[in-house]
Amino acid sequence: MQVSGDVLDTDEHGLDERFAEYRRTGDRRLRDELVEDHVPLAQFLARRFGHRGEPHEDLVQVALLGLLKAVDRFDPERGLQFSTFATPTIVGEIKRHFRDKGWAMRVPRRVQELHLQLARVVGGLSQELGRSPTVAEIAAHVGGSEEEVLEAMEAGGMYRLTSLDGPAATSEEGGDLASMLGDEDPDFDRVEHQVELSGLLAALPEREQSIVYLRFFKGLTQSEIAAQVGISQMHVSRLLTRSLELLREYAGAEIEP
Amino acid sequence: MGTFTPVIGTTASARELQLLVPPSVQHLRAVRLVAADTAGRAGFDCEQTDDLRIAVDELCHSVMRFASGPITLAFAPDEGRVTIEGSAPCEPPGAAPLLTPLSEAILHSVSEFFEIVDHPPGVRFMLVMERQPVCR
Repeated sequence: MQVSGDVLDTDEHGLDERFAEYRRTGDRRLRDELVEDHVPLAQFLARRFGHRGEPHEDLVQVALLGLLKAVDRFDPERGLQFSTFATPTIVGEIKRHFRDKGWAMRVPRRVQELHLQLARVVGGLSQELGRSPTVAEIAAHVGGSEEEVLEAMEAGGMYRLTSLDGPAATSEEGGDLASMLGDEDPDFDRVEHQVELSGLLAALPEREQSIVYLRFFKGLTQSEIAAQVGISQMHVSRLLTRSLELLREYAGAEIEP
Repeated sequence: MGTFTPVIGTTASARELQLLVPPSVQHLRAVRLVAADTAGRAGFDCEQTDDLRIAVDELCHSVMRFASGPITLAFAPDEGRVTIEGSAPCEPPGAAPLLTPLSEAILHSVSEFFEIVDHPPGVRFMLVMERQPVCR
């Protein structure tokens, strides 16, 4: 990330010493000064998320909370610049704010319930029909409208992911999801390098990198990936949607405003 | 009270849907919903529908990075095929590519055809997806 020096380096000289002193003494007044010195950084990062429909003032408040956490956690002896340390903390706080606002506010309960049914219904229909079902077939099966099914599919992108450490819904052996994903493909590094995505993809958890790679670089369908890693197609869909969302956020944090 | 006069497009087919969205990511959801509905009318299964949602989301998000005004989209289902065409006024992207390597990889992977081209004072883009044979 590149930003102008006056945003980040408010007081380069003596900054480490002041942080060291704060760590040693816990002086609240010194902490407040350190926070105040870096308010422009929080405002700068809040502006990056300004196009998502949240009031700017709210985002600045969230960013300041992240800044406060960063000031409390920063250890100058680790050799990092404070701005380097604080930026992911602040951006993480803002992203968490968006996630915590979540979908419950926007997605009707009926659609949420339907979304939770979808994986089972699609899996069952796929087996029964020997192919991926159409939206109309799913709607007929659940007794809802096609619009509701489309809304429920869309809701998948807003739904928080199941942890890869959590139990796999389709697992008969009770293993966790991470253990069911395939091994990393030996070609991964080469392809990754070819498209200059290494830094970006590396931001994803290792196993999600595999799913993104299989879908978008190997050209496997969601069903094929599902069969390979032993999870449902709907789950692959959710993992992909969430991974792309994360990649986009990471990429956005690297772009100049 | 005046009489109602339907406006008939000269190029748009009767099945085409048009959408005008502000260049803000919060409206991508509306774009995905309309795309999914179009996919359903073209007979796509839910997996292909999902792919179309991913593709149009990626394309529109890319355009939104530079758009200075509303994005106009036309969704046309036709015999197992969906064509999405769009345009938007854009600020000059300078040296920055219109598509990131990741967006390009995604669009290559899920669509039959796509393009995004300079069309001063903005850009035009097109995305085509076809229903896959049932052999999954």
